[in-house]
Amino acid sequence: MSTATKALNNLIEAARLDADHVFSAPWEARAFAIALKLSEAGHFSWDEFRDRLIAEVGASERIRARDGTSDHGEYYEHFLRALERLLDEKGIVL
Amino acid sequence: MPRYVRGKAGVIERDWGVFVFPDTNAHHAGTKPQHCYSVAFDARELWGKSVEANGRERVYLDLWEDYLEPIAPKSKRQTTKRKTAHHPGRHGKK
Amino acid sequence: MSGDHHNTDDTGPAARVKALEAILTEKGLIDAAALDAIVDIYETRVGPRNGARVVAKAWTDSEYRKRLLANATSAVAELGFAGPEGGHLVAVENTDRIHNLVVCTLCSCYPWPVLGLPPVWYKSFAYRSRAVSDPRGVLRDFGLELAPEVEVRVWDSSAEIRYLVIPERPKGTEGMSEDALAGIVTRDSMVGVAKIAAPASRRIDSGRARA
Repeated sequence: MSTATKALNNLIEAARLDADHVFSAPWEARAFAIALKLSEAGHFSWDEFRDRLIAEVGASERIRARDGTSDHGEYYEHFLRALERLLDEKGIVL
Repeated sequence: MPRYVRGKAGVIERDWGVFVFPDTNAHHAGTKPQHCYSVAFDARELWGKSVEANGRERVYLDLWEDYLEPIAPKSKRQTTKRKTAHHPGRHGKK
Repeated sequence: MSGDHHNTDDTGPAARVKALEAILTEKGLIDAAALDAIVDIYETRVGPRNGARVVAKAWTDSEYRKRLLANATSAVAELGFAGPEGGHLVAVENTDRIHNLVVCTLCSCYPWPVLGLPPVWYKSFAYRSRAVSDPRGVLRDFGLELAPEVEVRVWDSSAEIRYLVIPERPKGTEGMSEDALAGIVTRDSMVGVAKIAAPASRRIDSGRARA
């Protein structure tokens, strides 16, 4: 079984065991709510936020391709970093 | 724009209409309103002839007009377009 | 990074979020009650149950199905489902000849108003990279083997459009009410990684409907 198949199978299994949870930890929920709220209030467009998120995800993938590690539940760490960077860039949080 | 379609030929299947980029998005600042198209790529075009596909696998992407350039139409009813490396300042760095 | 969710040191994500919330609250840009409301919406009120109702209605009401395929955003809004990431919704229908699969290779774009927030596997590198390059392999991982003559269509949500798969209605469901049908539609079937199994008996256990 390839590493990629194994990685995906692990995640599918985890989903079966924990089907009801949208967020794995309270901080993920908070980070999500902050990003959405600020976007709805017009401080940035969701499109802008998504561009940052794509950049964070992409950067981490280059590291992963180099190290050969597999991911699990890192998503909101990219999310949080994208949010922090965007807020910094916008001068909202210095 | 996802990297895996760069330089690949696809067929425009649907026109989602013209989208206007919000001024609040710094990445898109100055990008002209343009069509977003649903472009179908044959799996063999993307991944090579060794693909399991047998002509029965396609990947559809939603791409801005600016990302596409026309290539010679194969028939009156279909226009195939090739992706270019050019993009209007969105994510997608190497 | 192993994603240790119990990390409470100064640089861990929980501490950073706490600090961020404090600064933003102090600046008057957010308040805790508004954040609580958003979390509540996405934890309890927006989820695959919405999409299941859309699918069940499409199965039982042919005019609704036509409207859904022509303009999913407005058809879904008819049932009261709308909101962020739902501005440009497109429904793609599975048949015995065509199987649709949805992915966002760049991040995690997903049709929130009808499916809620995406599961961890949908956001994983493993899924995002393989869904486009080896969709049949991914489906096998999910326990679904497609016949070679079935066409696989992978939709990479690379711009504003968000996709909802309308799964095939399984055999043995004739005569089921729309509510009962909604009870058997799974989240996985609406992303395209699963089909809906024909009900084993006439007594439908709605608990099975969880993704």
